[in-house]
Amino acid sequence: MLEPSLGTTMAFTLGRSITLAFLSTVLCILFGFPLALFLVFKAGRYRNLLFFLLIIPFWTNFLIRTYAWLVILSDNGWLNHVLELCGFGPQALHWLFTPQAVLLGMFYNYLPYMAMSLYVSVEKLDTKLLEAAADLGAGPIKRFIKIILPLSIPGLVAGSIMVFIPALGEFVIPDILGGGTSLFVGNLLAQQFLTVRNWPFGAALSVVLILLIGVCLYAFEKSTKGDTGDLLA
Amino acid sequence: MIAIAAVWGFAKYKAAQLELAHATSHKSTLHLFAMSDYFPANVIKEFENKNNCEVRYDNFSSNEELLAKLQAGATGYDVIVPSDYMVQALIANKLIASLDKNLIPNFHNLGRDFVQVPFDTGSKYSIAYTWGTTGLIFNTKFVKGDINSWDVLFKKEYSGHISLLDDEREVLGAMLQKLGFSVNTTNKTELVAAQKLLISLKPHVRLFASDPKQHLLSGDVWISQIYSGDAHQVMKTNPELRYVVPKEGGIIWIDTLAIPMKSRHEDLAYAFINTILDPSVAAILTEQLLYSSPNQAADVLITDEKLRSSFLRKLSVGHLEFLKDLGANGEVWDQLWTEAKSQ
Amino acid sequence: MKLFQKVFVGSIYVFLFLPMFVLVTLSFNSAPRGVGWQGFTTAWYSKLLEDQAILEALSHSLEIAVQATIFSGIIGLCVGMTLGRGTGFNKKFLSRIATLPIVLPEIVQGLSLLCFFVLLAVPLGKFSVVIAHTAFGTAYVGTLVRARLMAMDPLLEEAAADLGAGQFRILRKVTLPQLWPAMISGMLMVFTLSFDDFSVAFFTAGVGATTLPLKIYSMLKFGVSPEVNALSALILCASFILVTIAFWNQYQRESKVRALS
Repeated sequence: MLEPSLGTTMAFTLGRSITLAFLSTVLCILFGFPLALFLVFKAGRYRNLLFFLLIIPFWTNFLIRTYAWLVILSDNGWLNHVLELCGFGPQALHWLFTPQAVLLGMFYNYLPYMAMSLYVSVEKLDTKLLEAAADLGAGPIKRFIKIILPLSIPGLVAGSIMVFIPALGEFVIPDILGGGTSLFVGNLLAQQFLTVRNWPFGAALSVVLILLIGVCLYAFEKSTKGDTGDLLA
Repeated sequence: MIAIAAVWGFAKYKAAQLELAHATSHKSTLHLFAMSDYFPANVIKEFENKNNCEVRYDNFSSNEELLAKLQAGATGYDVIVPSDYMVQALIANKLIASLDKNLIPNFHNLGRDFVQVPFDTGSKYSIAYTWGTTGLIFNTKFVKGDINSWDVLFKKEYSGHISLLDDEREVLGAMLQKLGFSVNTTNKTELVAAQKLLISLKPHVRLFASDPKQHLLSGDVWISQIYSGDAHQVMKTNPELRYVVPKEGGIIWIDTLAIPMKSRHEDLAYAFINTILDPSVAAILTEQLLYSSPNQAADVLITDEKLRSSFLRKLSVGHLEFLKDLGANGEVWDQLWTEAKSQ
Repeated sequence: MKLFQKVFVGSIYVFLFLPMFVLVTLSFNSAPRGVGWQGFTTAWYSKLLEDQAILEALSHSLEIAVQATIFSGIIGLCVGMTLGRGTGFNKKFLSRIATLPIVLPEIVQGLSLLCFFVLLAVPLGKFSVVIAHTAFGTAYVGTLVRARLMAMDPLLEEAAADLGAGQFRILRKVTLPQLWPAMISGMLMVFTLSFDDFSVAFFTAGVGATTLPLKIYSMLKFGVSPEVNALSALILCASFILVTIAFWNQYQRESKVRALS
């Protein structure tokens, strides 16, 4: 039923989206985890304030925040102006409307979700465990690997679900920051339904996407044996 | 807790207030559905005052989206602004009504060329609103030489600084013209050749934008495929930009006003169309939008020669093509466009 | 090491707030298309307040958000209570379905609702958006209510029953007052989500239902007027104030609790 060429389109697009969602999730974890750890262990009396500051972007309109990046990343935009002042020469970065810009936008939008999820999970840690480990002679790195990391897994998984799965279907950020040159699943769906009006193909693609998400959710749940229940619910 | 409830209550109150104000004002509402920024606020306001009504202006971003929304059952629009080829599709799908000219006394102000149009001879279903061409705009600061061909898009020195319209008919059409074919072809070989050309060009395209004005001004893009009206607007802001219709051919287009079948305020719709056709209103529109006018009676009021209806004759219409509705044959276009864009 | 940590965290926050800072600054820029600084002005703000289309979009957004919040609150409450107290069916299965809208990509939700509406010949308009927003709103309210329900002490309800209170009375006097904070948080969240929502409204909005995000999107795609910057700055301010109030409240309550214990 599906001609081979539309099928390859589906495959390309899905592949691209999965890669993007995966990279976004990884970036969010890389930056979100240290942030959460800092907030819980090192922030002291500023903890609430910092948490509050983290929440603010989450509550402001994401369309607007994404649009701001257009201005920042433009060839003659803020970022390049600043770099020029630092001596890098004019128009140093050619980032707008490239996949890099899209990844940046995704990372920017999803970081708070991951950070919050990890924060909630790390906060529940019993500090006595860490104290005991320290007493027994474990250094900070060992404490991290053996205690903090394993106990944070529910938070990691919950955060990953909150980032990876919506990121798969994201179409606004690629649309605004990507310039329409690379199509992701979300863009393809929007295009098929509203412009090309090939609803059957769009519906087929949606079903594939939903099945893919279902598989991911199942895998995630299995990995924590349902422990994320109390974080998502 | 109280503060949250207070803020929430306030928002609720405000919304109710707005809704109440709207409901009790016994004015009818004209629902206008067109591309963004296509009707200046002062023109709308005048119409609202003269006819004691309100105008709700909703936007769509492409003709195909208009068709999709109408086909999906969106009722309640009173005036829509489809382009030439879309009018054919709308007629075929029985989505627009034939017009009663008796209710449009200003109809005679239209230039003859804009009444006997190929997509709706005699203007039975649609009234020409604006017209123009699609061509190339380039920034003389970065682009040297005399540009007059689609070839310039393929030059290596401009890679990464060009933009194309986000429209399958326009983009594939440009590729077809460069190869010497018609923009309305349904010949699969020709179309696949155009698609291949597009795919080869795509890595050098910075972005697809149906309105590249801001990107031209910010310097992100040096050469764009653009509609003539947008070109005039942006050239006014930056005189270093220049617009040209490529020698291989450009596309000439006419945007029209039409009344959908299920309109609930036909009288207002007719009044609106009639107002637009008034020469003084047409002149104001043209001066503000910088899109060419099809209104012959307004020619004397329009200062820029290029924006008058009479300019159509001066263009070497020979190599300019109108887009035609391809009906079911359009599916090949759709598929090729989807594939090309997802490379 | 400590300095590195502080710099690292600090730069993340700078990164998070940079776009907002840029927007606010740009909203005072007198350059016509926001390119290059050309002097301070508040002209865009006054122009914004006169822009009929934007004000209309704002009122649509508010209307839809309020309606969606109310419906979500009611239905969400029922969902939450069923999930927390219900028996006799596969609760895990139902709870997963109930939380699905939180996780599914918005485009999938929007598209499926569009197909659904078209299938049932429901005219697209403002109400279709309300329905769509309620659909995912109930998930949020339901989840929060259920969590609160599970954390509640069942003994209170048992005590009320022992004292002779009927089922409805228990609900009204014991259960609901305790669930109320969760409902309020949920509804506040739904209000924000509905007001901010773009993806779902993009597909389900019909005639005269242009919401603020939809209007901003079309302004972004077709000739950005610097009014957008002023509008963004205002919305940012409003959200900032709202969150501050919510947090201040939370902080106050917590310190009261701490003081009491």
